[in-house]
Amino acid sequence: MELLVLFGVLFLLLVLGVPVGYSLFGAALACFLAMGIPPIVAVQRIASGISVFTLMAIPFFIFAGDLMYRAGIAERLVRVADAAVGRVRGGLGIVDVGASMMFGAVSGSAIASASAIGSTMVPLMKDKGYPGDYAVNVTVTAAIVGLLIPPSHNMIIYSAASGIGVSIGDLFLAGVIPGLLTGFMLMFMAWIVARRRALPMGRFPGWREFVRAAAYAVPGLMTAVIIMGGILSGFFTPTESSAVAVVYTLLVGTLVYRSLGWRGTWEAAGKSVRTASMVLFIIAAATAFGFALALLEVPAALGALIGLMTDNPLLTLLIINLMLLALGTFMDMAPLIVITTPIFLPVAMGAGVDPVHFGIIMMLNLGIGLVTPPVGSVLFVGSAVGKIPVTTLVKTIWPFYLTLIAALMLITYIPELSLWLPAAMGGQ
Amino acid sequence: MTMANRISRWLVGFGSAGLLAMTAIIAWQVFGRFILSSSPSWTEQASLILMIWYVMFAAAAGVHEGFHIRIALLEERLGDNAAPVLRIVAVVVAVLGIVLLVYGAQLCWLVRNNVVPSLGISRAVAYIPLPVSGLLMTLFALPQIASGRHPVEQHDEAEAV
Repeated sequence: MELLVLFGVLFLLLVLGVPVGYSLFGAALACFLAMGIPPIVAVQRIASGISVFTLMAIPFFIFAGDLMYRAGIAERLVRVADAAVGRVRGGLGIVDVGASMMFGAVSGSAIASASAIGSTMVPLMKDKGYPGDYAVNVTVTAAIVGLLIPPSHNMIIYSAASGIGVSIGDLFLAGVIPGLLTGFMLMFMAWIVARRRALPMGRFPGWREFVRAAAYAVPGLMTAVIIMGGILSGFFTPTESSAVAVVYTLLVGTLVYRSLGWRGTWEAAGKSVRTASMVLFIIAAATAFGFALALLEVPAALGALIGLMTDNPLLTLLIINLMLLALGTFMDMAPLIVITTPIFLPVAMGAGVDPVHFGIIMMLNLGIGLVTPPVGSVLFVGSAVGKIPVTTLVKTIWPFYLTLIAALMLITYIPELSLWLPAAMGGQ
Repeated sequence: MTMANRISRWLVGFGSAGLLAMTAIIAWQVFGRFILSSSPSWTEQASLILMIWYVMFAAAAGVHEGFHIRIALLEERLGDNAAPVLRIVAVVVAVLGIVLLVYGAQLCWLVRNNVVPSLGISRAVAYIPLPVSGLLMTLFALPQIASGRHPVEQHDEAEAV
């Protein structure tokens, strides 16, 4: 009965168009009232949901991503990728994926990637005769790869939500190979689609130009080295690394690239504060919602239900993947990580799945939800950047969906893709 | 109306300053540990409390600016007849704002004697933004209840993570 209240109210509020964070808060509150629990518990959960040290990485990574965009780092990454692979048919599609992968390695936010790479690549591709829907579809699906390539603030949310202290350093390392794999698969699909639609070809600008472009991008790309090096060597925590990324980007943007002034910094701060407050408010509300779920013993019940359906670990993972994909279409990534990790992680671990591996599965799975309607924030950003309605985009996006799903299956069923690197680097 | 605009802009401005200050504090923490080889103990707690402050205040500004992510399908379907739905949405937000105000204030009162380690201040300081932002959320939702329209046009492009 209380369960019906919890999900009924959530569904009703979401459909009415109440913002996601408020819907979660309202549903938790209604459930507490039905259970005779005082409302202060909901507010107290919100307070505790936001008082988490590791979550400070979220505003930092969002801020760093926006600063990188304003400093022109995204543009320079595009130039390198263009010099390297721009010459093949549909080359700019491949360039787009490559630039997004590099941006993913310096930034921790898929939104930042979609808006930074998108606002550089989409106009460029339209200029060179590429259809806008192709440009946006490649950009938004490639932005998802950045969720896997470290750093990734969603992995930090996962680590906090796991409740068993899954190592953020291990998660970061585990994402590298799946990220590269997914990126290369998307490049391949971008090339196939470009051939079938007979999209234009670029030309090789020569080695001199390539070296020049690379040299310009190096200070930006150093961010990745600093972040990963700092975390892996134990120099600083993931939270600290995100603040260091902000400071480093500020230095590169003002002193080296000289494209970032006070004004740009202040505007970036304002924009980042808006995004970060929205995400963190949702996470706080999701904590209250997750508490209601735990009180109703939903995680245990769902685990038992999946156990009844199958005792085969392969099928268990398939069922979890399907449920997460379905939830991902209408909810955003951050609240889903907070809510579903305590539900599915024990089930997956019961089936013998490593928590680090499961985190990587969740990143890609819920990432796909970011590019699927009706709620897909990265798809929305792409649609806004390219000025193309979502309904037009989804008509030609399916080859890229299929590629992401194929990558998800590979990553789900070949644990070594995720677990080899952390083990080789002496983690675990 | 302009009053609400001004308050909302001020809240986001406070947030921007908070984010920059938080960057400086954590950078100081790293700097302190490696250069001065003494880790200041107040930095983590201070920046966390700062974050709670600006996140809650900016979230309230989000009610005015309308940047909170939501499913707008029903509203788009209804087009010009969406006013009643928008009113209901605003009422829900306003009620939840009141809940935050009343119970957030109770929470502050309950924890007033808890001391934040390493800062020596009351835990209530960390939670004060809850009731305050609750009040602001309710106030920002009132114009939409009255008019059945969004208080300001959509802020920027759709933003989320």
